[in-house]
Amino acid sequence: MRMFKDFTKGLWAENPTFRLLIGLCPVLGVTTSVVNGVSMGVATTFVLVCSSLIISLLKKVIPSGVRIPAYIVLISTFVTIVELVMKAFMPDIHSVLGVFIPLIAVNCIVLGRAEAYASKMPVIWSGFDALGMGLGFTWALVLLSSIRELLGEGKLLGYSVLGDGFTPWKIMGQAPGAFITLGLLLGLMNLIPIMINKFKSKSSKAE
Amino acid sequence: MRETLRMIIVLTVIGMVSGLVLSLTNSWTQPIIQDNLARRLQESVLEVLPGTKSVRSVELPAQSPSSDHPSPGADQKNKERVSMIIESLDESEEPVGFAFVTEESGYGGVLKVLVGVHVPEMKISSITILEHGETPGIGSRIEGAEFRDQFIGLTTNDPITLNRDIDNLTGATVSAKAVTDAVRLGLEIAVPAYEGGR
Repeated sequence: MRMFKDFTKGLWAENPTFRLLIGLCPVLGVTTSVVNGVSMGVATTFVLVCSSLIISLLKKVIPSGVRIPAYIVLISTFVTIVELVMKAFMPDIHSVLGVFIPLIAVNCIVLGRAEAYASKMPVIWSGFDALGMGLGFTWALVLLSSIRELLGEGKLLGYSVLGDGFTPWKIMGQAPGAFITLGLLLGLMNLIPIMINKFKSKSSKAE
Repeated sequence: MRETLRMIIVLTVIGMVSGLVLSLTNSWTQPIIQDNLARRLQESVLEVLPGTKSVRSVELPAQSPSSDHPSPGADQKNKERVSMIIESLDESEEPVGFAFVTEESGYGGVLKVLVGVHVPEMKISSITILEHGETPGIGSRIEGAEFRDQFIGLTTNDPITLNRDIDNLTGATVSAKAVTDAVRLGLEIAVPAYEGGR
């Protein structure tokens, strides 16, 4: 039950993108197409899970005075592994994501989970916490990139879906499009719990 | 004192293990990455010089500054303009032509162009944009065949100048000029370099 809670809180209640608003740099930067969004999400999730597991394992060994440098070394090791593997086996995606892959090392979601959770909790819980956070980050990226790819290019996953009659909104492929979409989505994400609460209080009054 | 020693030892060990893991990963992926780069380059050369069966890199001599640019700053720039010359050979090992990578600052950073040249007539067979950071939908139109095809058949004798033999792209003059300059100035370096290097 605890593991399940650890896992699901990252998906919704403490979603890093829509609830905690951390790690937004890649969210704005790479979400021009769904493929980029998914790849970035998976790469970040891998780094999160590996670093959380290792940090949780070593929590008794690492003295608190050097914990931050130790975490950074561990995190950047995993990031470099991801980068090298991507370069070797997915060169096309690597060339698009470019600088955002090494920047995972300074993504505050990763260091945040290490500091706030993995350094205090048992290994298995930390793993589920990291997996939940990573997948929460991934679905946020996928949602944002689907909207941007659809409106910016009229495509989804590279396939044309809106037909030739649709004029692509070029702004969606650029930085302002990212900010506008993220802003509207954040508003929507705040609206959903409000609507649910209203609905609940109405139905309880009716009873 | 014991605590300090512990900090030093733990951080050192973590650093050493990380370094070891990374060097192993590197030695595993490096050959694959090199292969990928070489294959991508060969594919690009094939694109600009159809009929290529194998490629051979041509040694770059010390690049002499272009006579158009007497200032020392321009000399420095021209030295680094052409980063690579590759000779392309057909089945019978006869040269089809050569391709070179030339660069120029565009609107959004460095722009790299691969130019294919047929020998012996020294005419451009085709050009392709390898790398660019131009604005999507505006400057990125330099990648389109309509713009690139204007360079086909030109030689060092042609002006290769925007609005003379190369049509401008509306709203993307900086990008279009960067490609044109890269091709013209690159050609001035690469043609003698290729002839001298053979």
